[in-house]
Amino acid sequence: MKRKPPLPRLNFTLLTGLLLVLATVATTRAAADEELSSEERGLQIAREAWEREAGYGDSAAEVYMLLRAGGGQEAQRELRLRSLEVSESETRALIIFDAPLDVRGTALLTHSFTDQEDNQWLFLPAVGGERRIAGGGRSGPFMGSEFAFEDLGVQRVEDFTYTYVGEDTLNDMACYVIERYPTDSASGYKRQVAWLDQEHYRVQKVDYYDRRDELLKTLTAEGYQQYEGQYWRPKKMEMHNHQNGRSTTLEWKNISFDNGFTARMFDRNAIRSAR
Amino acid sequence: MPAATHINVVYARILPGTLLCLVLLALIPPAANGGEWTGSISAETRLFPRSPLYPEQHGHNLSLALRARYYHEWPDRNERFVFSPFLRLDQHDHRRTHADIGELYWHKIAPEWELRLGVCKVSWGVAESQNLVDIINQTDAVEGLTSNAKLGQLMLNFSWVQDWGILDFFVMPMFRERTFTGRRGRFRAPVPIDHSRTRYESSMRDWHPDVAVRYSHYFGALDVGLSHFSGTSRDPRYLGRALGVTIAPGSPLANLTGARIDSPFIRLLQRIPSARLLPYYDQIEQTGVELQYIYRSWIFKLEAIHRSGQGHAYTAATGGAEYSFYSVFQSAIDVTAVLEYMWDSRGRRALTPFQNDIFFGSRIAFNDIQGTSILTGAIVDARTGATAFGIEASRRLGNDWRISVEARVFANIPPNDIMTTARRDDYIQTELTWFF
Repeated sequence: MKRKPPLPRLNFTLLTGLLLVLATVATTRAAADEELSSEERGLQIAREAWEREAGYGDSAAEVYMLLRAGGGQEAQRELRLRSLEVSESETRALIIFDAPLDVRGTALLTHSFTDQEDNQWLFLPAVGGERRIAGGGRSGPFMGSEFAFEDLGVQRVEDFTYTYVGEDTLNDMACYVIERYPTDSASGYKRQVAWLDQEHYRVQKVDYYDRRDELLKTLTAEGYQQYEGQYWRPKKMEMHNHQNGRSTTLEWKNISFDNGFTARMFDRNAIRSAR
Repeated sequence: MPAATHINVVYARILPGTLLCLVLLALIPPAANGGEWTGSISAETRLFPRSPLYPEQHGHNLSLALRARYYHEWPDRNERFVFSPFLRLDQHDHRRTHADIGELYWHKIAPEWELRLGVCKVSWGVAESQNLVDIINQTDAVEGLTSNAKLGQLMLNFSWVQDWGILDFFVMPMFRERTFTGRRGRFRAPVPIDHSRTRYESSMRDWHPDVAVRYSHYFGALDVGLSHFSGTSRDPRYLGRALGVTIAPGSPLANLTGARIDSPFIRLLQRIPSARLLPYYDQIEQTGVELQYIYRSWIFKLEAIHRSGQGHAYTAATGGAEYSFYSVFQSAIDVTAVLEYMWDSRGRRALTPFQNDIFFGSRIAFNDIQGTSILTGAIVDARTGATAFGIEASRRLGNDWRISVEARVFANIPPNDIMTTARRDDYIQTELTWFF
């Protein structure tokens, strides 16, 4: 927002909403620039989506998951999620499990950094102490669902390289389509194709391709609502696994921002008494 | 023991605890009505395929356990109240039928410190096979060989939470005696233990105020814990008593007890039906170190203690590494392999069987909807080859139930090994737990 004029291609219409859309303007203008390579355009879209989400401060939400396997078998998961942006390079997240009941009270604390390895602690109420755990296993399923840990964690711009694929229309929304390739060799994916709507850069759909480059899963998000006049959150996310026929629905409830969380509430000591 | 006496003993063991729990329940202030109860009820069966070493022991056993937890918080005051009663009923072993208050404390959380007052559980340590440094709570040894179950400890715990780490201070005014399997239970001592004659080095007996301090912090991928404990040892030595004579702790004969169950002294006691072992709790000083370093899928661990006041001063350590294979063979399964070495400077005089032993094991997480997991492990004495092998598998049933099956096998246990009285106690255990 501190960017100085001149902005030669600004027209009158854009000026009226300048304060709100300035960042977008810069991007759209650049995106239209024929000289950008498809890698640069892909990166630019990803960066724009990231920047729109940054600066939220703290947030909390309840998550309900419905796991559906073949043969009508269903299972539920309930958890609470709190997160805090400690600095530009550090985000802290605390997950507390409420169901199934045998894992109730288990808490997972993650300190994510943009420039170093994450720190992660697990608290098991039966043991009565917290344990630092290795951060590996990102490609594994989260609580037996079709969501992998890496699908749910903080997805930094630097976690992928990008290619701009083109434009597409999805549910009557004009979308950018970008392809992203995980930089982490431990990722379960060779690539992901993501649809982001052009208006708000919200993820509408993602196709996940496994290491053999075969279509593995499709994520769709719906019911986006805006919070704090800025941050968009979907009400519902559906992950469908094409290879095993299973699917998981993830619903967000009671999303709140500006809860007054402090770094202390996300430190190693706090996990012991997290509720 | 006549049946009626047996029942009386059972009631005597669980009644005080149960009554205390009921009184405490009644005392929970009306303001705490917003609190919630959670917990579980477990039914457990144990089958011992091999005939017992002692005729009064049994080949199978049924047991029920209730674990409950009451939690209430006053969010505006950053205060919590926690109450966790525990009750176990055992078919054969009246010593295993017991009640305990695992937690009953008030907890205040401030920006730079925390205070807990009451009965708490505190767990220290990083190793998989055993946690040498873990000394705050007494072991609830009747719960199982590997259950890690602890008894609640009355304490005042002040945590000073700073950028440079957490400094914990503990004052523990009341000591809890270790629980021991009774004569009818499996995994029992070679000579019955007489709880009514427990001895203490301190003249204040179980009211000696024990203190401890621990510093813990992490530096990048390195976790560090430094602790010191001063007070009543949680693990006792044993004094032989026969024909009205007790071998005093200062006597040279007393040093023949402990792990040396092939000592002539213990062999003699075994021949005298009225002979008993008396737990003797020393006053000790113990310094502990914990180190853990994470490198990618590797975790390196080391725990070491130095203890004085319990016979000769000694040092013991457990160290090793674990490596995790994630999503093996393109599946969702994660496999972690663990290798650790256990060492004790007392050698064969150690009060523990793990004085020169290798532990290797694995944790397999299937990451399926039922949360299926399998743990395997074996502890092998590097010199004698004495081996304890175990496997535990568990899986969720629906949303509220979990079933677990556990088997343990003892092999090559020589007659002079501290584990020798368990050498015929291989077992298969099935436990079904309902959570509420």
